[in-house]
Amino acid sequence: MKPDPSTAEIIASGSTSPSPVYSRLAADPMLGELVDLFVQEMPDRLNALKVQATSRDWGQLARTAHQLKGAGGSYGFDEITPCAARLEAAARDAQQDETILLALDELLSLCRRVRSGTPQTDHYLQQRPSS
Amino acid sequence: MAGNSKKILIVDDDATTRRLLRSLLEKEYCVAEASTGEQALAMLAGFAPELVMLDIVMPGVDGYETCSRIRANPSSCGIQVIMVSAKSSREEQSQAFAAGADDYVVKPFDPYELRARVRLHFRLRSALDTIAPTGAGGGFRVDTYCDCREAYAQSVTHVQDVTVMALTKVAELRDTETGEHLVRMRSYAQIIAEELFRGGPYADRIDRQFLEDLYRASPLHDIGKVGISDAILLKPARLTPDEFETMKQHTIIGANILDDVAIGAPDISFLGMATAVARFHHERFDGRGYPGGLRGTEIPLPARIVALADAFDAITSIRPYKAAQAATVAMGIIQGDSGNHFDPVIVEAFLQRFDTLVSVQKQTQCHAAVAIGANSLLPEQLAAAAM
Repeated sequence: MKPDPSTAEIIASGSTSPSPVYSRLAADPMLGELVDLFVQEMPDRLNALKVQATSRDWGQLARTAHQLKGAGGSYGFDEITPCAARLEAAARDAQQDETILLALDELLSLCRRVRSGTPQTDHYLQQRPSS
Repeated sequence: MAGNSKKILIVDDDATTRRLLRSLLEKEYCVAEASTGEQALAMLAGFAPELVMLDIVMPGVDGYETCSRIRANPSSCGIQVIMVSAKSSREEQSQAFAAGADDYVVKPFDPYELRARVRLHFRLRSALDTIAPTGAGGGFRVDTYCDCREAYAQSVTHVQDVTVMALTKVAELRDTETGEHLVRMRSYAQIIAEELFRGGPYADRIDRQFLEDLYRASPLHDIGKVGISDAILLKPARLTPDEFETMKQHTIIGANILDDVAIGAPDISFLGMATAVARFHHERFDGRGYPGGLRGTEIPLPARIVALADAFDAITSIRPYKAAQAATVAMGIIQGDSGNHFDPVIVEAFLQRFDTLVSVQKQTQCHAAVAIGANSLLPEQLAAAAM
């Protein structure tokens, strides 16, 4: 099935939001590295969401959102949980495509902003001259 | 991770969540992962986990169904199951418990709280296994637990009684008096304590536990005599001042013996009372007693009660150096010593129950063969006899 024009539009839109989102567990001695991994794998997750939305597989989209709802807060990204919950509910109840895509857009733009480390370390890394 | 550590099976279709749970738990536990309910069920027999952390929303067999199947199989029904799910409604949690879950953790979870909860479950489990070892814990039932507890409590009480009996026998061997003295003295102390419990200024300091403890503690008051030499203890003549000083040491020796025992058994409440009675039963209300020269209510209440009961029996019994006095004579002496040797409140209680004490005295003299210990009256029987 051809994707809805608005779907293509949303999926095509890149990261525009500037303010980064950090995990409150980033500096935790035991969990910091796990948070890094979670952030590294985020593009794969977002990709999966996009693929599922493009193919209008709302059931699978709801399950992926459900996973993000649970994992986000557990990894210290508290904002992800309510945002993913809205997408899960919209997709599960097979609401209007527009509603689902709006919730998806919100989640994608939030998840694109997640970063490893803490505000301080991130700032430090940005200041380093690129080799 | 140690080879004998507890085993946890993590079941979640989300690899990210499995990784977080694994990192939290693998330092303390042996951890395995399954990404579906089917896989988890297939791993139960081989891996034999003590605990399953179970997601609910999974493709194929979901968490509810997986949990029900774990419970339905006799070989796995004792496994602890903690649901870890982003389903957070009351109905969903109820459904999880209905499927047989032991606990429910809502995702997102706080990692350290989750780990603390897992530790708690293992502590609980090891407690259950201790009281009701039933293999995988499968047969555990609350009523069985209550039966075990009751049986345990009874056995502890029995051991305490036997212990006191043994100690008392030792005390008896070294005492110039017979075992009947201890039986009578215990009865007198008990009757006086019950009278004090019934009303008056000490009523709120005496409860059922006090009466039970006193019953066990009072016969041990002279146990320190095991540390006094025969030359002094059995001397038929009057003791010299030096000998008397040595004799006084029986209070401290007895208290030290009982104190040592009490340290090894801090939950046996009567030992604390027995120590106080052994140490202070020769104190006098006016402060002229020994070993501490304590005065008035500084002297522990049980010791004040035993002092009077001991004196009443001494006066009314035959001793190598004296004839038995009539109970009424003893009453006069004790009344005259009220406020000097004895606590006036306790003397008053003694007078209130004087007739009862006299009937107990006659009874035990008739049944001189009654040995202290197993055959002696229980506090309730004693109370009934004393009415």
